[in-house]
Amino acid sequence: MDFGPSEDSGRIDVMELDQPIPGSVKILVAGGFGVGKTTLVATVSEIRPLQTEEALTEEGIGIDDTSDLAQVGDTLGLAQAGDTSDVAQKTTTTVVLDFGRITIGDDLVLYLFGMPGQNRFSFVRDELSSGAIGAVVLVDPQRLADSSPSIDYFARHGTPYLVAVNGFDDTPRYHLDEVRVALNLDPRVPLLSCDARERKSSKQVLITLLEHVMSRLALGI
Amino acid sequence: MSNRAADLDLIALVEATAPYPPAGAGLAAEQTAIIRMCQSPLTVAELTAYLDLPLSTVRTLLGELVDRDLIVVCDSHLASPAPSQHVLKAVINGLRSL
Repeated sequence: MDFGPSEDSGRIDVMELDQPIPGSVKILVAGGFGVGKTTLVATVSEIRPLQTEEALTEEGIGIDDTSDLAQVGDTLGLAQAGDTSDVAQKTTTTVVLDFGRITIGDDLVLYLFGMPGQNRFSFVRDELSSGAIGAVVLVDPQRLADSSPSIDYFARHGTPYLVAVNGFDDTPRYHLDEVRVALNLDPRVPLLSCDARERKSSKQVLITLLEHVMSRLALGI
Repeated sequence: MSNRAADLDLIALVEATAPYPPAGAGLAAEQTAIIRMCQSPLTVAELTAYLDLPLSTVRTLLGELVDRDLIVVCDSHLASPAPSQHVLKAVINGLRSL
């Protein structure tokens, strides 16, 4: 089915709806591929984690070789639009975005968005981070470097963030101090361990982030 | 520029203006689906996931529906990078009681 570009759809007027609109708070969950972002969102979300796709153009990705595009999808395990056999003609690929929701009350909703860590998806990150109050950067203690682009991104943009080391039972032991040094993390950035499969642990990560945002607010940062 | 279809926020809320799609309006099947799904407000992100379409496509479809006054879009008023202490505290308490 073809939904080619419409004619200029013009301004969209933001209008008042009949019923009260709940306020919302948006938090990002970032980190390298396969670190547990989807798991964390799923663990705390009240809805089945939703996945939306963002079409990426070559221009958006900033590479000019379609064979690289195929490789991006393969490397990241991302959905590829269409058949890879016609990759030579392909000009877009897609990145899957995770999305979760937690209703806090009648008038307040918390939204969680998974955010790809790779630099080549930086324009998706700009879109996602718009309006976000803060971010959780999940790290795999065995692949610390994978999360560095996310940390750099939030540090550069002044987005409040914390780092949560996602560990499993079979994860080799590590010390948070060592992780902080290895990541060259600002001493003011909260760092904690978590298990993204555990609801309580994932909730604690979000609470710690919110407390961090509050303390920055109090300090006028 | 800020309110153009391409910039519709992922958590902006969409609501239909009529209880059912107008007959003979020449809408795409997906636009009819949007009107049905948005009888109560739904975020752009959720719509996109349920429709199983790329975000950019959904934004285009929404833009046309807005132009025809078949839906309204409401930016969530607290979706701001600088929420108040009060709101943050409410979210923390809400999470604790889950």
